[in-house]
Amino acid sequence: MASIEKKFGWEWRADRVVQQIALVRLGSVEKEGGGLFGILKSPSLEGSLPDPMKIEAKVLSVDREGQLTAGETLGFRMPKYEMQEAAAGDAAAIGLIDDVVVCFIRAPSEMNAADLEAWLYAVECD
Amino acid sequence: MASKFIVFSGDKVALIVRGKRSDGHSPGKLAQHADCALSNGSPVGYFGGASSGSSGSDSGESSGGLGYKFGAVLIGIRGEVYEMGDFLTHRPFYVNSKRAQSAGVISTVLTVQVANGEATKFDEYWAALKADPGKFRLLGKNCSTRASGAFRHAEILSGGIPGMDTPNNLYKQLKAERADRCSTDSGYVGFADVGNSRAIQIMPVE
Repeated sequence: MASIEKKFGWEWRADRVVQQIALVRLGSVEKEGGGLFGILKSPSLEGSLPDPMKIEAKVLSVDREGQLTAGETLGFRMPKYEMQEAAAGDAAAIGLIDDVVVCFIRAPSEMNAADLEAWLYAVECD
Repeated sequence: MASKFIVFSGDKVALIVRGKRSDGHSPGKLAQHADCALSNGSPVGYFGGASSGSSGSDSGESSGGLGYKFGAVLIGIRGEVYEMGDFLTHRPFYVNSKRAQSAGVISTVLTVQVANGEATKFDEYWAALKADPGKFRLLGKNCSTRASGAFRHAEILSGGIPGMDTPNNLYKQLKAERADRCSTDSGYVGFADVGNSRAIQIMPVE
């Protein structure tokens, strides 16, 4: 995968309005480290996540103009339990607010490109 | 087994130790966190802010650099008091039992019976800290230090946490000094409205 062009963090949507939903193809999916002596894993630090994963992905399409455009590569982090067992090569929709991903929906594996494009507009970011 | 609901109506407050699986469990120092429930049953807690902005792209292992890590441990970083809205954005699995179950986060709740004056002072401490959260430091100015401050301000405890400031040490101090007022429950913890009151919901781990 080409070098990362944009980086995003992770939060939950809560009651906020999602600004953009992007259909992405997952490149690498790796477990994130905890920094020096695991300090960044402390649940008392705002940025800590349960079982954090580092993900690189390529944007296939977007539902509207916004943070991402088709063809870009991005990196983001998220808790493993929100990944629905997605792995490298899978397609997924991600919802964005500013510089954070707020939802991740794994695409059904049997979909072709046209199906995925339609699915993107039907997906709900919760 | 059905969830247990602990209803708050000004007569109790609580310490919630995240990562503590049972009364006797001692979680690792970097695997625990302390939150509280105010006397009206609302969640509140103290956290160290992310290295830049919210939980953004600079919060992971590659982030913050040595300066952030050094600050988090020794010097101090921006402190933040979370209320319900903040929890929903950053830690929904601390306020919703089903999400806690999904995330595998088990907590132990120590409920402390309080008098009216104690409840008022406990709540006042958190309101003042929200207005001026000061600096967070993993050593000595962390979530348990602030929770301890609330219990001392309310005169429920008379002294600081024995040993290192950790959520579990505060839990043990409260149980030792206020055994007659405390009850303990463990499980997947959330908050729910029960009638006109708010309650802590404890979903059992099966």
